[in-house]
Amino acid sequence: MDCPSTVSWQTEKQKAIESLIENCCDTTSFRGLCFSRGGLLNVLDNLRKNVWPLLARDNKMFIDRISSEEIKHHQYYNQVVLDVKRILKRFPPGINENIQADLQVKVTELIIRVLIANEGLHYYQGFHDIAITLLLVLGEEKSYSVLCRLSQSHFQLFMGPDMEPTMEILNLVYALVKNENRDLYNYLMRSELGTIFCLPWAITWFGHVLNDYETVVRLFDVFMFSHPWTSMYLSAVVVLHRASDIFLTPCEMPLLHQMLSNVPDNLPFDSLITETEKLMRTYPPDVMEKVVREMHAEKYLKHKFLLIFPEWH
Amino acid sequence: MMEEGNQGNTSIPASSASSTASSTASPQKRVFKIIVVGNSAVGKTCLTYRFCEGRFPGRTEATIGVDFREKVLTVDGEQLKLQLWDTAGQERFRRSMVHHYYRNVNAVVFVYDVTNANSFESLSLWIEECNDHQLTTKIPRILVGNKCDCRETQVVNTNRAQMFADMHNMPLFETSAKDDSQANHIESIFMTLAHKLKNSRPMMPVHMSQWQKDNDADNIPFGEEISNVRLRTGLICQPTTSNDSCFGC
Repeated sequence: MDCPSTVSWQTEKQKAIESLIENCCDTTSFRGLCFSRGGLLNVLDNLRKNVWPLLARDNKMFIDRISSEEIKHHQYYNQVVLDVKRILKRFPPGINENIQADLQVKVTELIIRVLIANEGLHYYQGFHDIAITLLLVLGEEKSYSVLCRLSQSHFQLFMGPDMEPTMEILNLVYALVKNENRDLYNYLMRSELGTIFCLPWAITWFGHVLNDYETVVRLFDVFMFSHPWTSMYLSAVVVLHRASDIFLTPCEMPLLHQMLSNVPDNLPFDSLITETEKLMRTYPPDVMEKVVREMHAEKYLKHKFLLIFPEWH
Repeated sequence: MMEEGNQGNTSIPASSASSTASSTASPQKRVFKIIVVGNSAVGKTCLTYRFCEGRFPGRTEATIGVDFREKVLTVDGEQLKLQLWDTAGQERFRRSMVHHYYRNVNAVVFVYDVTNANSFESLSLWIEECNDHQLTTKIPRILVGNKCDCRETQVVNTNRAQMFADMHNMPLFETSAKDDSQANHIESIFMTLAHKLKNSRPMMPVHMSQWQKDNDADNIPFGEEISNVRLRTGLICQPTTSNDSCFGC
């Protein structure tokens, strides 16, 4: 049961958020509240339903009705259907089958409508995890405008013709670990772990890997109102937080990949988010950009070299 | 066939220990890296899960990036560790992401869905992708047509698949990760692969230091010695050296 002081901080926070909403403050005003304890609070997502759509407030999206024929003929329709059919974790436990089937149709439509509205953006497996979370919180129309907005800002990086830019930016996780814990960085490098273990974390905002709905939406609060690379910063914080588990695991890529891929649901996310904010202040994205580009270029050259001379590995 | 252990984070010795092992110490297991590729939703995750965990996982979500599972098998008295890398099916992942996992691969499992023609037609692309990463016919490669419990909706004709497999010098297996009666068949498929791996010198073994010198007599290049595998159906699966094909479903 919540003690009085717990209730009071939540009440205070709720009032602060409501006051920002009433005063039509811009989205940057919400950033601090999203990072601080409890995010936008889990009061049946009531605050989220009002705050998340503010992101798309300035987006004058012309919401055109798209025929179901047009949706079915979209180049990514079949892929989206295959992925949406297999969504498990994101539905509330014990959900009625008919409601689930209805949500699956709606999330498929949502994704295709966003892709049609944003010509040039490509669907990736994992985008469906983002879409279902938005749909569950916001409903059809609001999730459409918010997802459109986020696809132009945060997910654009992952939605290009290929995933090379995604591969490049994942190096940020290593760059940050290197700055914070050199021994850990050396250990991971020696194992040749690579970056794919944190790919689903970054591109689904942890939606694909965590089971707990409240944790996922709490993380969405943070990612939505901060720099598009924030999920990479949190990924680095998770790796740093698990340093002792990593050192206990043999320095072998498969074992480390397996260990890190399983993100425990009970990580102290509130304090990890505070760490993320600190890390972003210490190593701001604009400073890290150059480091990340250099790391990627080096890796690319090594990869090409090994393809020609595999015996040098 | 004996199963020693499934995936887990503990009790697996560090590979570095093998480099100091003396000849009298208990031999380290040879480790083989196997990559499982194919289109989305053909059942790569279910297939590897069935093999490593011994059961159908029920429903599975889309794999993003790669998942890892492993299993230890005993083949002719030698314990081999098979490491299975279950990859994402969407093409954009294949192009940009998976190359990290193609390195040092000892065998490839190509998977298609017998009820989905597109997944079969895409196999050429997957083969091309492997060739680009030096994973040619020099290493064991097998073709698996999954979901054959759905016979009524099968669209990929077995003869056509067999011809394709022959053309690419691979054995073909049609099976079902879902059907419990096929569980032994899936074990047999991987056992076939394990035999091939045991009897072939890996191009680039994951742990070269674990290679046992006293095994050299058995180290016949892939394709020259093929072991029989008794399938659940009672058929003997004996791929021929000419086309190296086998079908036992």
